[in-house]
This record gives sequence, structure tokens and C-alpha cells, in this order.
Amino acid sequence: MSGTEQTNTAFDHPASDSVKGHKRKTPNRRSHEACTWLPESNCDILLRERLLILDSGQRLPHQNIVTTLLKCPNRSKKMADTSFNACAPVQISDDDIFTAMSEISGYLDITSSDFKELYLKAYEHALSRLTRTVKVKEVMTTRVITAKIDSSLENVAGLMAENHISGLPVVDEKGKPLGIISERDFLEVMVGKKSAGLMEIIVQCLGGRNCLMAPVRVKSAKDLMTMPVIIVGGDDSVDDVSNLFASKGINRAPVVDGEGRMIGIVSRGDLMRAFVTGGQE
Amino acid sequence: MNYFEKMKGVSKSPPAVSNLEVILSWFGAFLGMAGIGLINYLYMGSQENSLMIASFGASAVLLFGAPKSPLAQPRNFVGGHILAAFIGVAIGKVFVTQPWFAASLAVSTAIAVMHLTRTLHPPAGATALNAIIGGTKVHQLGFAYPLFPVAVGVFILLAVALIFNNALKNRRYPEFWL
Repeated sequence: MSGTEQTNTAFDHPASDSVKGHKRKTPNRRSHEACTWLPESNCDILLRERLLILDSGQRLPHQNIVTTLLKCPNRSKKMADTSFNACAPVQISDDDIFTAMSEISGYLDITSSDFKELYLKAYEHALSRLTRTVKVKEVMTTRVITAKIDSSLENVAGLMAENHISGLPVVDEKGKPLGIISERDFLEVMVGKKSAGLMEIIVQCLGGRNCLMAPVRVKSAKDLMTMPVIIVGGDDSVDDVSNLFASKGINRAPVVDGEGRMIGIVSRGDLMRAFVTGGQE
Repeated sequence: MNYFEKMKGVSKSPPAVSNLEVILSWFGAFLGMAGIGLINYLYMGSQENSLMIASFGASAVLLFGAPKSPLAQPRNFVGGHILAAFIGVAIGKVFVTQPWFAASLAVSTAIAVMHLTRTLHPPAGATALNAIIGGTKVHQLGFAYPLFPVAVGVFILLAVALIFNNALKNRRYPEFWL
């Protein structure tokens, strides 16, 4: 599964302009260690955005905080006692704390450095508490574009182009997800090797060698799809799924019910969109 | 929140510290008090406990039991004790015939002055009180009391706190000096 989905942040669904702005400014690098989902510099931007949303008086459902998980799935390991990484919720300074303390009239028996450490640790706990209670089925996309196992690749590509999506699940006749096809899989089959990029295809075509659409014409969905597919349960917490996405390096996963039937699909875009729009369409 | 609701409290007691922290607090406080006691024994004679005053026991709680507290920092510890000692002696001399009044005024004034000078150190309230109720020996010291035993004892305890708390990986002292 991993290695097949290069497409950035799974913006399969129209997201707000501000998110697209992130994408433009800092292309996602999937190998990034501290923030597997987004480059660290985006953490601050996202946070500011969230604060803006809060400032504007919109109600922000608690599940939207999941985005912070997107930023830093490994956050608890990264956050050592006194060294705070770039994914800290707010770059709170000693002066901020000092000023805040002077606004409280009574004596506070805590130093600003202790407070900062406490604040960041408490923030982590709050995030994980909130996201443990949010289920994937609350944020997933229910209208899923799917391909059948014997769909021609032309049809699959057509579906993806028509719906502006970068990947879709392949399901059997009972609606059970079997695999996933992404843009990446197409690129690979056209060049004939793993981890091919668009530029490699262009190079090969300009060089006049191995520029064949033939394999794409004859093959069907089952030849191209990545399997086994990684699925998640509708009742799984967003916290767990975020960690799964990060550890497997995937951008989307079919959501299934108790019988294994697909009830939706969840992508990073879903979580991101929920965060930016405050959960309201 | 109405008057009686306030009395119920709003939160819960902070979590317990680790066992290691308990042992370190215990051992540090022992060394700190032993430092004062030993110097007292070696230089002041065995039966006289002139260097040791009760408020140092309270200071040891902060310096070794809660060394990160602002109340335990050198500014508060040294400044609080010396200021409170002066206040205690002065008020004791003025209201020499009303010890109950002098005691109350000494403690409350010490708190106010410590607040104003940002040197709040709870044990220093006892240092001010001791200037009034400490008996004839303390009264005879007069304005020497802030220097001896107070300042001398304070610096011994501070030295032990600096040496002990910084010798350990998971402790540091102070958080700030001034």
C-alpha cells in the first residue's frame, strides 16, 4: 500500500482556499519525520488559522482539533521535557506567561518555565482525549466513487478525472473493498517501474523509448490496484486512524461496517476540511 | 460563585511526586538542617541552639521539597528572611508591652513587605514572629538578629541547597536569582 500514493494530502474533495494555500507554499514531503503529514512550518500556519476561526466567533466542533494530529502523529515521543518542537500548539513565550500572570491579581506559586511545560503537556492530553472520542464515521466521506474489479483502466481513469480525485477503492459485487487505485499506480504501469513520477514519463516519451499506453489499455482494475487494502472501522477513533495513516504512509482508507461492507472513505482531506471549515459544509 | 460555594473548592490536590523525589527531599533537607546544626555545634557550643531557628525547618520544606517553587528561590528565601527579621525586631521594640499585638503586626507586615519587594517566602513569617516570641535571648540580640542567626543560617542553607539540588540529574536550583 505504501509507496503507491504519492498524491499530496489527498485533496480529493474541494477544500478551502487556505488549505490549498498551504499546499502551494510548502509541498508535502511524505518522508518528513517530525510531522509525517505536513511539514513543520505548516503547523504554525494551521494553528493560526484555527485561532482565526475561533476569533471569528464560529463554533468549532471539537473533532476539528484532529488536524493537530495530522501535523504531528509522533508528537508525544518528540516532545521532550523541556525541548519543544515546532509542532507545539502555540509558540508561547516566557514574556507571554509573565504578562498573563501579572493580569491575575493573586500570587501564583509557579514559574513561567514550569507553566510552559505544563501547558504543552496538558495540551497534548486534551488533544488525545478529544480525538479518542471522535469516530471516523463522523468525518468520513459517504459518497464514494468506486471501481469494479473488472472495470477497464480507461473507465477508472475517467472516473478519477471526472470527479477530480486522485484515487479510488475497488470493490466486489457485495461492496467489500478489495484494493485501491491511485494516480501513482497509473504512472508506475506506464513507465514500468516503482516510484515513477510524471517527469520520468515525459523523459521516456521524449526519448522515444518505452512510452507505451498499451499496458493501460489492456489491463483492468484488478491488475493495477494495490492490495490488500488497509481498511478502518467506522467506530475507530480519529486518533487511531491518524496514527495508522502516518505509520503506513497512506492518504486514504475505505471505512467498513461490521460485515466488511464499505460505508465511506476517509482521507487526509476529510480531516483537513473538517478542521478548516469548522465541520460545516 | 456565591460565598458558600467558594468554600467547596474548585479543583483537586495535585498528583503525588515520585518515590525518588521523596527520597531526595528527605535527604536534602537532612543535609541542609545538619549543615546549620553542625556549624552551630562546632562553633557555638553544644548546648546553645542559637543559630538554629524554627523557620529554617519550614524553609527546608521549600528548598528541598519544592525547589522549583518561586517561593523557594534565592531572592525570596534570602530577601524574605532578612526583611522579616528586621520587621519583627522593629515592631517588637515599638510594641514591647503588647506582645500579642506585636506578633500579629510583625507577621502581617512581613507578608505585605515581602509582597511589595517580590520576596514572598512563607517561612519568613515565622522569622518575624520569632523576633517577638523567641524569648530574652532573641530580644537581647536586637537588630543583630537579622544578621545572626538569620542571615548566617540562611546562607548555610542556601549553600547546601545549591550544592545538593544541582548535583542530581533530575533537579536544578535555582530557577532564578533576582
